[in-house]
Amino acid sequence: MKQIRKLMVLVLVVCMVVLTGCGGKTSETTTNTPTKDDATQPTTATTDTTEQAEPAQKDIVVGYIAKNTVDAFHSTLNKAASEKLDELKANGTIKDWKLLDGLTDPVTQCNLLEDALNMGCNLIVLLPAESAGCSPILERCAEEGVPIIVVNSKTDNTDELATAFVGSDDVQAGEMMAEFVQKQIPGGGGYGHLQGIIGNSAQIQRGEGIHNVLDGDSKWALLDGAEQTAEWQAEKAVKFAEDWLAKYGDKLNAIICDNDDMSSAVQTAMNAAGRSDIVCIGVDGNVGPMTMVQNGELLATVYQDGASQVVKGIETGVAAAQGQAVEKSYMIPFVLITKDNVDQYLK
Amino acid sequence: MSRKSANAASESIRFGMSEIEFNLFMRRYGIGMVMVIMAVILAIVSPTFRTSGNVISILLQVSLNGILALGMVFVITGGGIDLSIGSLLALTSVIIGAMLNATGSIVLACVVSVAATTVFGLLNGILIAKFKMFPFVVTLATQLVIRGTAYIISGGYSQSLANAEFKEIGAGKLFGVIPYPVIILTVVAILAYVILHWTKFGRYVYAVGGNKNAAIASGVNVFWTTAGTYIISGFCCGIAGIIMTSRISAAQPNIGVGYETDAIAACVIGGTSFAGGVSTIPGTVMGIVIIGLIYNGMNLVGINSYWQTITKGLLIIGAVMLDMVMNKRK
Amino acid sequence: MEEQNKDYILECTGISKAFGGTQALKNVQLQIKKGEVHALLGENGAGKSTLMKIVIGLHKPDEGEMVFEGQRYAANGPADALRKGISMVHQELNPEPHLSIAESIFLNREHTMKGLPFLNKKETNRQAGIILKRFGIEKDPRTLMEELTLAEVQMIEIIRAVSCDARIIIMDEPTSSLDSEETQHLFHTIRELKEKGVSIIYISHRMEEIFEICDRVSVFRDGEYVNSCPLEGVTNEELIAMMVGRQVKSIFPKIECEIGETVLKVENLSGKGFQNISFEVHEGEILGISGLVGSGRSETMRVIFGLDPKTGGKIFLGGKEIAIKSPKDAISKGICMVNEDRQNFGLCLYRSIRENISLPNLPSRQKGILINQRREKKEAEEVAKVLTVKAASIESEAYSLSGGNQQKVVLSKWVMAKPKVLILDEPTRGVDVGAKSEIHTLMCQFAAQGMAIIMISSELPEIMGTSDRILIYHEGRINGEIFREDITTAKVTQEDILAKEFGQKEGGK
Repeated sequence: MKQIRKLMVLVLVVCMVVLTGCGGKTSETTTNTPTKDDATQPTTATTDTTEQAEPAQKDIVVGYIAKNTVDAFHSTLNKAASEKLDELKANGTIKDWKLLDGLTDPVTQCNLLEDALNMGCNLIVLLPAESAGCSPILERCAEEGVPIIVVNSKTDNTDELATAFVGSDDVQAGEMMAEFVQKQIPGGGGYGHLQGIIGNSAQIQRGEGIHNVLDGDSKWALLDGAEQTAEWQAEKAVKFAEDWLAKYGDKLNAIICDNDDMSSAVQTAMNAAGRSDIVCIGVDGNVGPMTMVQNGELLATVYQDGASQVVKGIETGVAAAQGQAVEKSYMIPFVLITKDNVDQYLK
Repeated sequence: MSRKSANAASESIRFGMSEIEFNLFMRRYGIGMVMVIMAVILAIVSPTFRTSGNVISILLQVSLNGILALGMVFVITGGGIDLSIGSLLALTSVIIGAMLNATGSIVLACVVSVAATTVFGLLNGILIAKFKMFPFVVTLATQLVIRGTAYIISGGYSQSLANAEFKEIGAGKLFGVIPYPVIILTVVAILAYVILHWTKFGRYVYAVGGNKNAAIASGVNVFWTTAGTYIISGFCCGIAGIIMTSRISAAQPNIGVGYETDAIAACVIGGTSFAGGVSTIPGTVMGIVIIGLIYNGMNLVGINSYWQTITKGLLIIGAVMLDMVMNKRK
Repeated sequence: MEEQNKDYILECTGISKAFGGTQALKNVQLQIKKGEVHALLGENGAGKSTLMKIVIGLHKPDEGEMVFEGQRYAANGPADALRKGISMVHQELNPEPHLSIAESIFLNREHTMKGLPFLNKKETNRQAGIILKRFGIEKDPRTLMEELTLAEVQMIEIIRAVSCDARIIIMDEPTSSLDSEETQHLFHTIRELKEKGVSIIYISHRMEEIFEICDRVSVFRDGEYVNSCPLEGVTNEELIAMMVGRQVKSIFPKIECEIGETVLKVENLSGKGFQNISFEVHEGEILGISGLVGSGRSETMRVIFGLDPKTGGKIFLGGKEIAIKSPKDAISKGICMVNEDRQNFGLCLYRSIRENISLPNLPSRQKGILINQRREKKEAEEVAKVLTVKAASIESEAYSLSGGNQQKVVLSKWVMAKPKVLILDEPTRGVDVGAKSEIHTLMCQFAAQGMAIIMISSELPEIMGTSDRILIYHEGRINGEIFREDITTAKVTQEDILAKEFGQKEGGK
């Protein structure tokens, strides 16, 4: 009995050591690769810390702070970023790069920035989790003199403090959705709006775009109580939509969603309820909705070219780090995806 | 399980101490050894880890979770659980936003927000201790109530806070070296130590968590002891919420989701028994640091976040097993 | 020993069982005939329950063998015993409240659909309906257990046993929560079962019931088998004489001391399990309370200590009426109690000896808002030393101690509180002989210091050896008071006390 206890303690300690040890091995492989590629460059701890103090032009280390690594849209972005950064590392443009997972939490992202700076990153690419909450990250970078590229959505202080912003104008996306609805149902009618998480810049601006177009159109009216947040989530969106359908019946003609995870799920539900005439549209261009467009189950979706955004963001950042002049803002246009052009974008 | 006569086992000597002393040492500081081993390995593997800047940033990173865990440890020791802490963070955040907007007074904003979270802690305590409802269910429910309240106060919108002095709480450093959140964490830890280990209330918490009937039969007021643990947890949420709001300099109603997981994990890793009645503040602090090491260390050595989650889970299981083995629990 | 007799359905021979250092059963035997109702009789702790637990496989005997229906028998838990044909209906019934009658009867042997792992509710209900009818119970088999009265629940338990084809049914105090009509109904069922050839082992403290329903009786005392005989032709007095046998030895070193003023007085106190109790206890007096488990003795003390609410009556301390709402009130007024359930009400097992001792005494040992740790440690060490608690250190956790030392820790914390009245409920239960005598000595010392002590004990020699006065409880009332002179002059014997515990009226000797 006593022996077993001792043994278990031992096993546990070994487990923990191995766990942390595993980390050790992976890190060796990642840190070793640049040493092979850049045999001329001394890559030890000392250079890491000196880099931070006086960044040499060639030794660019990119800290890529992702919003998260779990949702479909950001997975695509992260994949495009990884490919681009690997390519830059392979051709020697940058020395190394780190992917840091923000877990959709601004506080975590603030913490990760400190980690990135400690690791000697001298170029930050940030995909903010929150417009207000991530602002201190930009302030901190300004303080440290580290260039920061904000990608996809803006923080409140992006215009003042970011080296550059690469994204898309979400107001445009909102307008595109509203205009599509106008075009599909020329006679007008009642519509519902399913929002993303409140306070998120994409939510605010897409909503703004929708209202820009439809508030001035006397043929269209937002149904009473039919503007709700489904927090980007398909199943919540469907619940709202079904409630609206029950409440308004034929008066409900269109449902505009802040993303297309929601719009595709809602369209499926409406089709199942025998109301395929209801026009549902959203933004992003995720694989699921795009496939539905291809199959004719969904009329259209607004494609946000996230991959292009992040690639452009990295290119801009590297240029800035190399001392070249860059513009403050790059806009990657949204594309309306219908059956006609879906094959071109659905890979 | 057979009770052994305590003085019968003292013959076997290891590391120059008796079996009992060895067990006591392992039980108290076993987790500290895990912490030290992790730190040593990280220091060997990652050169960045060794820098003073990184050490300070780990402390800064753990300060938030640390304060939450120090509140949580009271609740768990008293035989309960508090799932409402994430929502309380959001509540603090939006109250600070509203108060700063309305009055511009930082002190008032902090006092009102901490008072609010403390009152919600009391509410949890009353529901649990007075009406004998299950802590899990009560705090699961109040968590929703509090989150909703935060949305109502904020109107659903997050708001940037421009107040530069308020920002100093989270971003400022004493002597330009030690971040204020780290100092606040230290003060909270010392206070928690004194309250749990040196006061009558602390003893009562151990008694109520360890054996409620025996506590009653020893004249302990179970209601106020239980309610007290939730009040402390609420208070800690207020303090942590101030730091969080200051660090992101924004008032946000949607923040703090899932923060209870890390706080509970820190307690459990630090040797807090979920059955109640067993915990130490130094152990909890070690648990807090270990969680910080997992996040920081894995980022430094470039392991993706999926593995961080798995490691944290395994470590909790390991810690609970260690606790059971060490305390010979069934 | 008798020859293997074909009359006997169950034969246990040479059964011994020890728990830790305590010998619970010593070379015990029991023979049950087919179709008889067999009473087991003995004081609390005589070994009846332990023997029954061995029969249904809850404990494994250290020695001895059992023969059931001519074959060697050993059960691996109650489910196994039931399968083999022996079932026990426990004193405290704990049915699953959300199961229906039918589901309860067929628990663990549910009817399933042919070849499928799904329950066949219809069949279950149909079968249960047939069985209920056979026992004359007019209940829908779909009725939930929580809707039944205790008597009905007990009936279902018995039906379950019979429907499992049990040949022996053990009933532990089956009438303790039944009224007289329900009791008669139960007896009717027992007689029916008897006719069907089912044997019943009947454990009860109610002599009149035993004489009414049982055929034979086996008497146990102190873990030993005393005798078996047919109930016909034996008298109540003879049975009691068989149960008593332990000697009042000099292991109880009673220190005689001056008995002073009345400290605690109780008038017409009523609560759950007892009615209209009145007594008083004086400075320096040890008041013994004797009675069977469930007779209301512990319940009275729990009310005085504030653990349970009173339903009537008054409590006076030092001549003034006091209101006690919680143990906290009682402790602050100087009434302390060592509970019979040490693990549940006495100790925080995973905290240190020091913390356990000081727990009720913290309010008066503070320096500002902090505990005066140095004083706490010093006083705890002193009191632990006085009470000879044996442990590696005062910081050792309570669970690491032996039963006797745990009990001394519980005593220590109340001694530190310096109470006026100290209530001890079974203070020497589960304590080895050495520690037992130490605890008795300590009790006498406390009394000598002027404390009033109330001691509940199931051990007659203990209570007779240490008490200045003894109150005897029977079914929630005081059924006799005995003074020390009567014991020392042998005017009152163990038999007399036991007879009163079993309900004999005053002067009925």
